[in-house]
Amino acid sequence: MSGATTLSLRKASKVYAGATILQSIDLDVQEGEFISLLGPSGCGKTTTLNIIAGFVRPDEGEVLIGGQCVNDVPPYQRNLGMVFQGHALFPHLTCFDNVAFGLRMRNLDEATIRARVAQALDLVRLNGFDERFPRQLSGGQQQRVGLARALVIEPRVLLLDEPLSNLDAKLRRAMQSELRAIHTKTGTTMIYVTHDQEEALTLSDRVAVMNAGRIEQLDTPEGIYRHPRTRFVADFIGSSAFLRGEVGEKRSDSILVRIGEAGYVAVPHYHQIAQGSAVHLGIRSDQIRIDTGATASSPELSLQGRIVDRAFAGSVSHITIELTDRQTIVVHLSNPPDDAIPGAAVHLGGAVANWMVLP
Amino acid sequence: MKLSVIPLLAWITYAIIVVPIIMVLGASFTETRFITFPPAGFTLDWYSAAIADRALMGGLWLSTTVALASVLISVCLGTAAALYLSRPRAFLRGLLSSFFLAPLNVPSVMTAFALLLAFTQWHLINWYGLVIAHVILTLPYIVRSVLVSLAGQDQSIERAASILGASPFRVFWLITLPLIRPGVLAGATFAFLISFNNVPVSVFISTPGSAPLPVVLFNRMQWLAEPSVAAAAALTIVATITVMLILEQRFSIYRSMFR
Repeated sequence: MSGATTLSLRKASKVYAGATILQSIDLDVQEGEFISLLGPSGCGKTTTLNIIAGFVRPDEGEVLIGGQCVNDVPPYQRNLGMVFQGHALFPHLTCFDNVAFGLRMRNLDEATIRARVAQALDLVRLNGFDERFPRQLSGGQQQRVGLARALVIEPRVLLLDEPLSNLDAKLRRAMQSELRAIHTKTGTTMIYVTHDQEEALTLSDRVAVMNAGRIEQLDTPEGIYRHPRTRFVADFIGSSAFLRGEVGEKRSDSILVRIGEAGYVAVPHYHQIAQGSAVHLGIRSDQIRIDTGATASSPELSLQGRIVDRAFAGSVSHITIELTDRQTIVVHLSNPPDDAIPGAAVHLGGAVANWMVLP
Repeated sequence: MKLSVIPLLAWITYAIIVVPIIMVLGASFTETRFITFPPAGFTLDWYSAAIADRALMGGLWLSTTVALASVLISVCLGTAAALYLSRPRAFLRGLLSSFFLAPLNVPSVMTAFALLLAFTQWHLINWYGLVIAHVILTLPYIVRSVLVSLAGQDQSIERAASILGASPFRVFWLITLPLIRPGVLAGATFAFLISFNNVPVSVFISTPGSAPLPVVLFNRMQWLAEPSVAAAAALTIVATITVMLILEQRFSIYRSMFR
């Protein structure tokens, strides 16, 4: 990574038939970076990609590639690569001709085309498939041809629009690691659209979590996971429990937040919250600990409640707990104690550092 | 033996289609001076008579040139119209598409009457008038078949070509056109047959001296029912069926018309 900005969006907005699809998106993608646009369907991630590609014109704002505004540059002059959800191979052309298409559009000589197509097919491990037609390939092979076709032109940025969502789970994981390897090998800047959080977290250098036409948070996968800045991000990434409380005593190393009659929670001291104000707290469902003993075994287990449900879900069990102040949270435990059954009274809580304060 | 109704009905249907053709073919071999079936005797004289008949051959030539010219024009206009109508935000898209996709049920005699009124004033009761009339007749078939083949296309295929560096013209020429070619061919074939066999419109827009083949045959059958008429009809039937079989073999045109 050289640190240079390859692509930027400046206050890009889009309205379709009165509905706001994108609200003033700002994004800077560094050279060689793998960045994911992650969000539920309808959040504007695909529109963002189409604006970068030039298929959709932003109503306001600019797209900059290498510092130059490309708003008026048509897609075929942007020198970008794109991999589509439905792979979009040319059905009447062979693998070779599919991959060669972009090179032919650049009027390269046949010998160069031959060499570069062979290299690209080699990169996606499809050598020897030159003369096959797309309909003669499996779904995974078709998507690899799509990848080779987009990479062979050495694009400024490679755009990937949910490229793996049509593949089954096993193949998807194999393709993820292959994509990761190709990114390392080629160093191509990639923008990856997905609604699959695990995919985004595994693949990306940075993740932009989108919701309702905005970027809610742009951070490293770990930053997104550990320090979500909004309730939407905390809820969308991983599984979290949320509580309402009132800010109480501030100590040197923590702030106490009172959760009604259920007890209190200690959150990190650096949060800017005023004493007496109402706040929302969040914590990862798998970072809550419980204790069924008569007294709390640790000062962290400072909340009280009663188990109302216990459900087995494979690697973890989902334990639903009603706190004494009637708020309900769901805890994921890999080894729940045997006596953690509906009706049992419990102490629960989590480490200070694991509590998130959300707006 | 078990008697099943469906195959029986199927055979009756085939017979209804095939029997008239067999009758025309049979009648063309008769030795009598009038059309009769079964034929009395066997001769090929009526075929040489038909080929020597200047009115029949003139009609055949006129029908062929009108059909070729009108199909060429229809293919260009109809393909363009279908490409436009397939866009999500085309003007009156739903209305126009269903108009073209629905069976065409304006009686062609009415169309012909309207054209006669207009073309008489514009001095178009000639070859050009026939071509224009046949373009009007055949256009919906082209639009229909191209729309059907466009409906099965993934829009992102054209986008893929575009982002790989193909200008809109190259996208159309290298990607869109090859993908809709079966639809264009199927439409063109049906358009040709519709033009070549049309009587109700052609009969209004032609003069007794220069009429397309079906009109000549129609007139002859009313006044002079010689077996040479059957011979001319037999020739065109055989030619048509041969062309259709070849096109079907090569391009499966029926599938792209009716899938």
